[in-house]
Amino acid sequence: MQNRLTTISVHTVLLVYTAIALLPMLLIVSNAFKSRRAIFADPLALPGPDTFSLKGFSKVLAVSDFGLYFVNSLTVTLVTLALVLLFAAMAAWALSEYRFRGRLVLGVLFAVGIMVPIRLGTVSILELMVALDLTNTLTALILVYTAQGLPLAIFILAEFIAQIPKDLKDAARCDGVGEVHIFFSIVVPLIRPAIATVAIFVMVPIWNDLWFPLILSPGEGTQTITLGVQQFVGQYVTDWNAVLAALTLAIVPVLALYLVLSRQLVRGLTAGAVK
Amino acid sequence: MPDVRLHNVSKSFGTEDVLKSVSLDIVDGEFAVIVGPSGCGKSTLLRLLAGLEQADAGDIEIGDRRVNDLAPAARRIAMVFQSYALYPHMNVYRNMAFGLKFSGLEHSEIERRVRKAAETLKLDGLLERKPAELSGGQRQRTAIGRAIVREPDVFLFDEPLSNLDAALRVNTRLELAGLHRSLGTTMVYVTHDQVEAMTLADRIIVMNEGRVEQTGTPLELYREPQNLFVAGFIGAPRMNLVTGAAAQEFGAETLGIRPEHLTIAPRAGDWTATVSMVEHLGSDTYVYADAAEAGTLIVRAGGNTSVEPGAAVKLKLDRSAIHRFDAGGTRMT
Amino acid sequence: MPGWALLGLFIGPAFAIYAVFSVYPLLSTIVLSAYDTDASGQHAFIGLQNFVTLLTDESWSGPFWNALANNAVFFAIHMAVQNPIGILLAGLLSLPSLTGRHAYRTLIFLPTMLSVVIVGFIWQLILSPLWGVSEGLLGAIGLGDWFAPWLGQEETALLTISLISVWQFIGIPMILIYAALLNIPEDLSDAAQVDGIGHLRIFWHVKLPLVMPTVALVSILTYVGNFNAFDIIYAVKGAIAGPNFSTDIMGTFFYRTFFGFQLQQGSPTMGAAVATVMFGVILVGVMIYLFALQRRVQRHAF
Repeated sequence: MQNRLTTISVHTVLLVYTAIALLPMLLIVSNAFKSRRAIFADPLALPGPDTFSLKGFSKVLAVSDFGLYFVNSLTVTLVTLALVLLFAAMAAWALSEYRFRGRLVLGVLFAVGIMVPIRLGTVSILELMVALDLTNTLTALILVYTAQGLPLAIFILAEFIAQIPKDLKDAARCDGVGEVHIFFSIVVPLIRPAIATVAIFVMVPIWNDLWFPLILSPGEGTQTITLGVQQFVGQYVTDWNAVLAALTLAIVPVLALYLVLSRQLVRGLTAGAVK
Repeated sequence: MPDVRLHNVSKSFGTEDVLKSVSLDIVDGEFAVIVGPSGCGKSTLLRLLAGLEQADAGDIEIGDRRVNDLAPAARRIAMVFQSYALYPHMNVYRNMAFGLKFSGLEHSEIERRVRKAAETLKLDGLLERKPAELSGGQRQRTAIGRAIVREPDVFLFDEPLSNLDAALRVNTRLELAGLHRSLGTTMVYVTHDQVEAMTLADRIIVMNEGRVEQTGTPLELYREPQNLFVAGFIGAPRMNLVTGAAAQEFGAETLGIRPEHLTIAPRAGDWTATVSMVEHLGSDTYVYADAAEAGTLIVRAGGNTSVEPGAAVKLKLDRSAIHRFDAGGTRMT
Repeated sequence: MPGWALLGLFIGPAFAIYAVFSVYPLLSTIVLSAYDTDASGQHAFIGLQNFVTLLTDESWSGPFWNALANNAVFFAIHMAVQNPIGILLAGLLSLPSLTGRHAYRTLIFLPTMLSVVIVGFIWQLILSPLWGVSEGLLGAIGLGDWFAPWLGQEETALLTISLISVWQFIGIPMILIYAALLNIPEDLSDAAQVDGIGHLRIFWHVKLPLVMPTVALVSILTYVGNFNAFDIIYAVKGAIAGPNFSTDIMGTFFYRTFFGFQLQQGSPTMGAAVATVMFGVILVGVMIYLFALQRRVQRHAF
């Protein structure tokens, strides 16, 4: 940078935008810890000894089953993640390693799924789930999210698998290592960094989704955290303490996880952008 | 007897014919070096032997078995790759043991073989290291160790020295030769470097454009190249090839003269030339001279030769050591 | 080549799940759009009649065109706001010797990680005249009179929601363009600098053209996301997409058609027809991207 003035103006712009990005969230979280009176009297103030209150949180935890929603979201996200990673890695390996008839067609079929949102098939998905007697189960969500996550995961993993040197696989074949073992003992350990990236791409939309929980499993006991918050806020819209507390409960775990994983995430996005 | 035999083997990738009906015989215990310029098909030939590619036509035999349809692991071969192909997530020990685990060997036997190979290759202290923590030479030795522990009938090497620096390359070359002596196993070694070929080989196979140009011991190839390609490829500095009237004088289309068979004569000579450049190597001196009749010639002279660029000299050739080639580039007898 | 058993083992699970829960529903939805549901719940083939109804029957065509037009506006606002801001932020972040780069990047990307629903609620509260936070903040910079219940007014609701969505997703263009900028070899800007070209000019004439493929990629991702958006409207305005359907987009229209609302009965077949139209709209966008944009906006290999 050429001079101090440029430096200062660059930082000013970035700081202003950072404030725009963060302020709304800080406002919600800080007011969630305040009494109702203080929320309205001085929304911009941080909670102090006089204004501190956990009333909202006790209300949320008393009247709704937040713990359960959280466990539901966690179950759906983690099981889906495991299925997507395993199946996508296997398919990506086969599609990029072997030349067989129908390979191109399969590749195109999966590629289409990257662009076409699975939501458009909702009418039939619901019919299918009714027929399979899976409505209001987490299984329904897991199956749909797995189908949703596979195409992009296959695409990214195939790019990484293509970078594994040919010699490595040939060496193993000369040693008499079977294809299944080559996959699990050599390919999987080598694409571990990519798997972490894919994990983030797969997890975030699932954790945050409202559409499919709303349609496939809105029933008592199977709500995810996003749907649970949506229903709660709709019901207690006038109870500001409770609404702010509910939003805070939804925001904080995601933020905490994000701050832990941010380095990995940005690296993943950056790597994906190269293509 | 695990001889290695190829009979009329062809292979093409798309429209490109990489191997054109190649036949070869490699005798048990031999160190055979396949040499040729890049793109000549030598690596493909090795991969066919390994079973990593399938031949379009012809037979490949190892011992008395036709192995065309056998998986690499069933061919009793071991291969050392140019890039070493070490598994980056496994330590040296596991790299060497990995393939054996799938061959049904006893755990103790695997351990014995790995320890023995590590000892032979001076890798004892490094067994716990990952490839990233090894030097180039150590990686190279690990790759060789991984081949040795399989106790194969045939070793296949794909340009194994090309990733090493010059000094290490000479060392490893000697070690490889020693290894071959102590194991006595057939080795097939691919390289583009004719010096490696000359120093390592019991027999050299020169390839060009998907064909075998000539097979023979290093000295046979050097002394009696069967065609212009081999004549030009083997030997450094390369053989002088003279065409035109100067060659016709000897009844040939092309006349080949090795640099050491030309001498700078004090008075009378065959050709008159002007020195254009002189390279002093200490033991030898390479003199580049332009002759009116024969073009630019390289003369290998003694270490204390003292001609200067621009000097006019007479060149004399050793008539007993000339090579004559006909219009098709084939050696004339 | 490995045997079919091996291929089946590797590809089978992914293919089965993808085929049954993604490909089949999409195809079956398109097929279903050519049927009608009668009173007994039986489907009857009616060809393109659903689409004719959608486009010509006044009780359908009005809401449909309204939703499509609103969706186009929704997308246009995204393009007009997110790309310039994304490029600006990415450009600043990629400046050499910028301190705090990592912190800026991480924090500005943060809202992107949140659920759209949560973001909708956050802004609903902040913009609520009841709470008065926005009014107070605007007052602090002397714009107090300017405040209005933007989310509640017919003229401003769609714009406001679009900007909320941009606020949430600005991190994606920023990060992708930033990554593309980092991939430009330093030699290029060094060479320009040696030639005496200023930083701003280098950015405008050298770097920006080189990241256009990424801008095109961001645009198609935004397009697909926008024409299939639902959560933000549903969270802030409900399925009714008020006031007076001024924030109704294809996603909410689809939802109401399929599930029904108030007095209108939900119809799977009509819902399928709306989904098929959405599919067509998205397909057109993807085709334009693949065949026009991606070819014109050349990729430069370094």
